[in-house]
Amino acid sequence: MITVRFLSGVERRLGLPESSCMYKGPSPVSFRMLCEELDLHFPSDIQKPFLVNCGGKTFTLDKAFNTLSVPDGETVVIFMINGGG
Amino acid sequence: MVQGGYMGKYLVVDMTTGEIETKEWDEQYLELFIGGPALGARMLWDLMPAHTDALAPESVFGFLASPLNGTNALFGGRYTVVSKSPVTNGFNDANSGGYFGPELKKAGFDALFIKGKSEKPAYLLITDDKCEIRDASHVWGKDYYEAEAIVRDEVEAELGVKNVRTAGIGPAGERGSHIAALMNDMHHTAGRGGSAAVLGAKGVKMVAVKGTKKIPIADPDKLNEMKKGYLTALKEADVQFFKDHGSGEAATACILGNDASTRNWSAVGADYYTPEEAEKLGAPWADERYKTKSKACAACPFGCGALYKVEDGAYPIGDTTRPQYETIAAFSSNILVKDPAVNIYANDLCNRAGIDTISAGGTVAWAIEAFENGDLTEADTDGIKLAWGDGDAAIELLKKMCSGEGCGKYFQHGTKYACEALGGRGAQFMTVFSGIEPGQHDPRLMPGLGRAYVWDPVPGRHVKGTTGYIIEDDKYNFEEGGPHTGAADVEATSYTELESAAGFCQFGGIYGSQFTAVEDCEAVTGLSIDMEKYGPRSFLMRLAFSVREGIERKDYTFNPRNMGDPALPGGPTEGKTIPVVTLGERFYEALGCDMEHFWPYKDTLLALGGLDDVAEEIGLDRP
Repeated sequence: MITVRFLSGVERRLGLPESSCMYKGPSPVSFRMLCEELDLHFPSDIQKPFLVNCGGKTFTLDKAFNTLSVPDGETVVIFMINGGG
Repeated sequence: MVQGGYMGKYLVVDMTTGEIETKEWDEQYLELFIGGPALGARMLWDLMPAHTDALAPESVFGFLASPLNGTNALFGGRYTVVSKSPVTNGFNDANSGGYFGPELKKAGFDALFIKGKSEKPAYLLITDDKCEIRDASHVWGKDYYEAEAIVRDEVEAELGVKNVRTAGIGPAGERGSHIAALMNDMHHTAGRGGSAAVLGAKGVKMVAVKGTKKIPIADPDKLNEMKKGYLTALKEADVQFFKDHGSGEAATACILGNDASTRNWSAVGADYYTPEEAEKLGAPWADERYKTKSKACAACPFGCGALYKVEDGAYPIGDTTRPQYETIAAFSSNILVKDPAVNIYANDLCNRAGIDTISAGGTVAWAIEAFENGDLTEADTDGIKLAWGDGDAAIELLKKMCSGEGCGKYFQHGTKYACEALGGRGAQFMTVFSGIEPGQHDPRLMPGLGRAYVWDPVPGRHVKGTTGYIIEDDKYNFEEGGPHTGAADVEATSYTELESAAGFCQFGGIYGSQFTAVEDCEAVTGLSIDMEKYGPRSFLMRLAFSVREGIERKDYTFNPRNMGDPALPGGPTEGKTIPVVTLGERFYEALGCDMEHFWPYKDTLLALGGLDDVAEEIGLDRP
């Protein structure tokens, strides 16, 4: 099982009701496939990029789609930098 | 023609002679410079002799209320302070929210300029059309929170009124700390660049203001219509998280995403922080435990400030205020600390002393790295054993900075001063821009910001230039430093110039539309603002002050580390090196400046209007 958590209000940007969800399919699974299976669609937002933290590393969304493989038992955290001050 | 937004007058107070003059604006200044940094730079140019030492009596400190202040234009509560910077020896501006700016206008004044030096500590009391100099001996030396409460209470009792607004300095400003922050309305801060030291050098502890006047608005119907539209748009926008938790809600994402500095800008956040550890540093975690009340600036529908009561953890300090994002990052990932108690306490210490939290955190980070590398020893730190992740040691050093005692006598002035005072040891770890510690946003993630950090007349500011995480759009792709960046940079910079001049909070722009600042300003003043001319005029007026002081391209310094040289080994900015010299050249070329000095050509200045005398004095002949 893989846990996907959303920070920084990402779940609202994705139109999801909860701040986390579970993937129970075969693993390891590519991040792209994980998103397809969980029906996660990221709106294009050039000013507030989405980022992905997994296995102690943070990736840009593009890099996660292209390179990230998620093993069983892992937690994937998806967030975006939307301000500061 | 100006039809609203201004009270039409400003004060010039000479603390040496006690003379107080009320002057009427040259209306052309208001039309061309609008307010804030641009108008402040124009006035300092007029009022200050060139090459005046920042802390000399002839130096001038300015408070400028903004055209939106007091008009109820949303997000229009910010005012500006200007002076020569004791750090860069060039122009300095900083701005703050709260209620001070609107109150100054309600008292009948758009600005206050202070020169000279008082023989004994003083505060100014400004009421409707009046200003008087009063003795402040009883609050000199007191921390800002305490001093403000004393002055406010005594003035309110004397006048029989409530809500007297104040701005002033803590003990750090009294001592001339180069990282002293101008405080107002308790915890609001115009913190950057050391202007508070200039006010302290004049013997002025505080300015207290109470007014009753109505502020004229050129087109109140249009302003109200726009306000309604904006409030409707905000209802549909995703802003509740920010309203609940303020800027500190971003700390978790910024630490994990490498926008906040990690280990003095040398490392990858996710290598040191798990998501759970980073979440504990975000404002939501602390709000759940400590928040007692939300606080908002004038005319703000968000309310990103808050009061805390902290009665547990490493530092149970009781009543305090919620740190903003910048402070959280500066005193957590910047020094590899994981306990939120450290940044909450650091925020309280800095606010009371009147010290800029961004520069204070940057200074502590530099000291730790220099100590870890053996460049500094316990002999330099009064026995404090500095180490990455040691929050207690960081707090001990900060206390020295706040008091100015022991090693605090040099650390209190920031990284550059301390490093030079210690013989240049650890200079390779200084992550400062022309001597000023940068805001907690990483140019490697937001390349356009790198240009502003390095090449703005007030360096190291996250609120100047091309703010925003614009990294993929063609027009704002600054990663390669292409020829298009110059014009795009000037265009984007023009809006941050106008926002500052108008008194518009950039959070309004981040969560709404920044163009509202222009439209609001036009509705309030009745002016038609030509942004293609306003932005360059504002920027170049600020630059001109520094040029007159002799500052040129070679004087803008930075640590290549901040631009990704060497590049980070991982994270979302892995391998990125920002071509910041090229970005600077593109920008100044688009503005109409020469490449050797980054000084404006005479014809550039003459074409913008209002700068003829400036062009005559510092403009270069185009080859």
